[in-house]
Amino acid sequence: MNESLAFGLVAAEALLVLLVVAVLVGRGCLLSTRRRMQEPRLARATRTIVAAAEGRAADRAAVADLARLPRAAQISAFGQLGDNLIGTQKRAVCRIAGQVGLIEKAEAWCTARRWGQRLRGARLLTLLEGGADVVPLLLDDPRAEVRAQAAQWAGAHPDSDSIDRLLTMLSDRETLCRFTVKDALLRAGRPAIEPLLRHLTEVDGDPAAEALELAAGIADSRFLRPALTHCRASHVQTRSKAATLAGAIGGSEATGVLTGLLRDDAPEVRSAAAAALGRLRHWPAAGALRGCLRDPVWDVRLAAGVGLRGLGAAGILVLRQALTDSDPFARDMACQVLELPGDGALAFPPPKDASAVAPDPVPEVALAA
Amino acid sequence: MKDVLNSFEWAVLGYFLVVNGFYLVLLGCATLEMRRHLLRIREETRWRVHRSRAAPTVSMLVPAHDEAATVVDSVRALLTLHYPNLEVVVVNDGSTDETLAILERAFELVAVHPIYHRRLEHREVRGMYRSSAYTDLVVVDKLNGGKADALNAALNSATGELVCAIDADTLIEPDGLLRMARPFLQGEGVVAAGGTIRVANGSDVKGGRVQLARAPRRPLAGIQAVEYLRAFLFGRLGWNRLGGNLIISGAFGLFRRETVISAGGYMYGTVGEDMELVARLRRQGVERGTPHRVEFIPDPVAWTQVPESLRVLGRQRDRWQRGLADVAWRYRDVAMKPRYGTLGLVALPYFIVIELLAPVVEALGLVGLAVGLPLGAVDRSFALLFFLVAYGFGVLLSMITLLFDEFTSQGTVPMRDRLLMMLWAVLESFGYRQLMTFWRLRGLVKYLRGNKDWGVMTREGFAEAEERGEVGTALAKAEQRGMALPRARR
Repeated sequence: MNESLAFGLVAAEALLVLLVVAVLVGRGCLLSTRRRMQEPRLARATRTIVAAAEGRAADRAAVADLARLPRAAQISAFGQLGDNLIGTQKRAVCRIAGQVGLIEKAEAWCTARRWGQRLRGARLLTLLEGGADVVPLLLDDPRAEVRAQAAQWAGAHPDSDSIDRLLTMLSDRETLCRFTVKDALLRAGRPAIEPLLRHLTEVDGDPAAEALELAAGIADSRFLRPALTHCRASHVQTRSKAATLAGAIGGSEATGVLTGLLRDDAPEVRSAAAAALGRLRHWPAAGALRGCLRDPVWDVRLAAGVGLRGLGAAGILVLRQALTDSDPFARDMACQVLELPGDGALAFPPPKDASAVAPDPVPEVALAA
Repeated sequence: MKDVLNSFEWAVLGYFLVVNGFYLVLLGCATLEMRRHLLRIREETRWRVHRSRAAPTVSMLVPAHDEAATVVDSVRALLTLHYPNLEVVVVNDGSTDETLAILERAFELVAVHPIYHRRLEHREVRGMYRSSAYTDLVVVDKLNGGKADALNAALNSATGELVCAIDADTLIEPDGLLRMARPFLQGEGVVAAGGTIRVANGSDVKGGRVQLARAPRRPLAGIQAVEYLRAFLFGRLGWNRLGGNLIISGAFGLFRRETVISAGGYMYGTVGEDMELVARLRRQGVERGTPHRVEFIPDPVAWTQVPESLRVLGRQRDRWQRGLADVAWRYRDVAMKPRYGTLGLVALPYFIVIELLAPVVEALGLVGLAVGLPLGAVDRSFALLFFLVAYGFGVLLSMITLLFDEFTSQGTVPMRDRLLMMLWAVLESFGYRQLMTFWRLRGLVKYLRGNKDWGVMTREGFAEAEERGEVGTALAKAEQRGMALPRARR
């Protein structure tokens, strides 16, 4: 490195440092000046929006003043209230937003080439309503963020078409979209039931498991039939979620199927069935649940134990009987669930290696013995 | 001799170019990440997740050992966090003071029989309690076994899909969890996420919350504040894009519980357990073909106190260096293996060559300079220019980080504080950086001698510090007593 190059580097660095300092100071000054200047106008804008929400007629001059605010300030003013309003209040506020051209602008953003703009537009229209012509198209957007936002909008406008479209998005490749869709459908509630029923008859595998989980959140009795059908699915997660859904609905048919699932090959399904029977307080299943206390998998034993406790007197009686069970793990779980003194750790010796973890601490040999 | 010194100085120059070249790459990546982040969060409403039934459940893991002074404040602050499905698991790790009794009184704890799947080893649990006032609060009382042991007990007892490990002296932003959960909702295969931890020294704190963020007034805390910002907003944000994030701060990190448990939980006998855990999660993810992405979000999510005395700071930094050396040694077989992708080819070599060995090269460079100048082996004007280039680059990076901070804080930091931070950024290279080199070297030497000491932990309640109006005071008092305070790794 020769001296002139080093000099050049030092000069370039000094110049860049000065530039960054100038940006920092300049931006700080600009923001504080803008904030100071906009503060009274923003306060007036908020008063105008609140007046509209309260049903008072908006003053023409105040609306014109609101329209003259920069877009970011307008969004900030509407954002403070928009998310907390519903019904006529929200419609009144949206009318004002329409008058100042914000909805039109948001709709234009929804068709922009840059994803950040599309996301902004969809967010604004979710907040303010409107955008029925442009936002549904964003459900097929290549960007997950935009699709998710459009899904949120669709959840707030739950007609049959949009719900159907949302249901197909339950198997979206992006976590964000699946989460948003699930959340939107749970919020939609009743309007989602019929489309979800149809959807449950059409899907299997992971999408079915997602739909069943969603149905369990709504827990309408009409979901019983598809739940029982999916209890026979070959996909483990589907059977497990179907058992949970059946347990959330109940009925003699459900309890019969759930009792059968206590003998399922997959521990997740046995565990879900035991928990469901306990939640349903189906005391005739006490005997079958006692059998599960001997299950080789801890989660199933816990679900059976807690399930038995949930049955009330009948379950407690069975748990007390299990205290003298020949199986040490059944005894241990009964002891733990009944909150009796006893050292559960004796039955579950910790692994010797500090960092090693046994997937299931029940030794097969001990069970056989 | 002259030739040897001359070639040595050239070697140092080469190292300098490699290091700063990589910093430039990180800076570019951080800029792209920051832009994407700002676009994502523009006009976003986090309250949607706050009211969602579909949000993943989160368990806060709070290890407490002799924390009678702070535990109630800390737990109360956690219980008021904005998150829909939140559970708080406090582990009383064999405290010898009144920690458990105070918790029992403050939260009306009722003894329950412990039923949990003992998938991770830890010392014996003496009892489990549930609060009758706050149903989401669980207290596990166990024999003392250290922080890793307490966290493993908390992992066994927790029921959340995600777990959040925090230090007892961390102040979490009310919507910090909502922000931290975002990467888990946004991306497939995320197993851990971290956010920006900011320095609380000098800020106004009330009721366990930072009411007004201020720049630290004292130089030592101020320079650390710049250092923290640089580590988070430049380093980790850049690594996000490269896919090589290896550190989630122990002060506040969110993990997928099942992944942590199946990886064996927190490891005993290491002073850098937070970095070790992330390295293990990533390594096992690659080996087992399971998810292993680690994400960082630039949002400020939590606040921590930094040491305001040189002695405590020195201990902290040599401990961090020992932790880094420990992880580098444990995972040496991952480095330069294409199978591990960015982790093996970029991240670990970076941490070994740049982070671990930097103090050695810097110290040798300084010694070489001291010997070379009188002998005439090093040109004076060239040495001065070299120093200016190195120094200028450091200042430039710090200034750009402050600019990033300006964007994430949306211009809410007062101008006076921003100017103060600029001053600390400029002063960093004079004395502080050389001390840092010394402490890190000391840490390396201690590691080679097998020292795994954490030091003694003493804290004073935030409440008392608040009464005096400044957070740093509590720390200063503890420091006067000569106590070492374990801190979160940057």
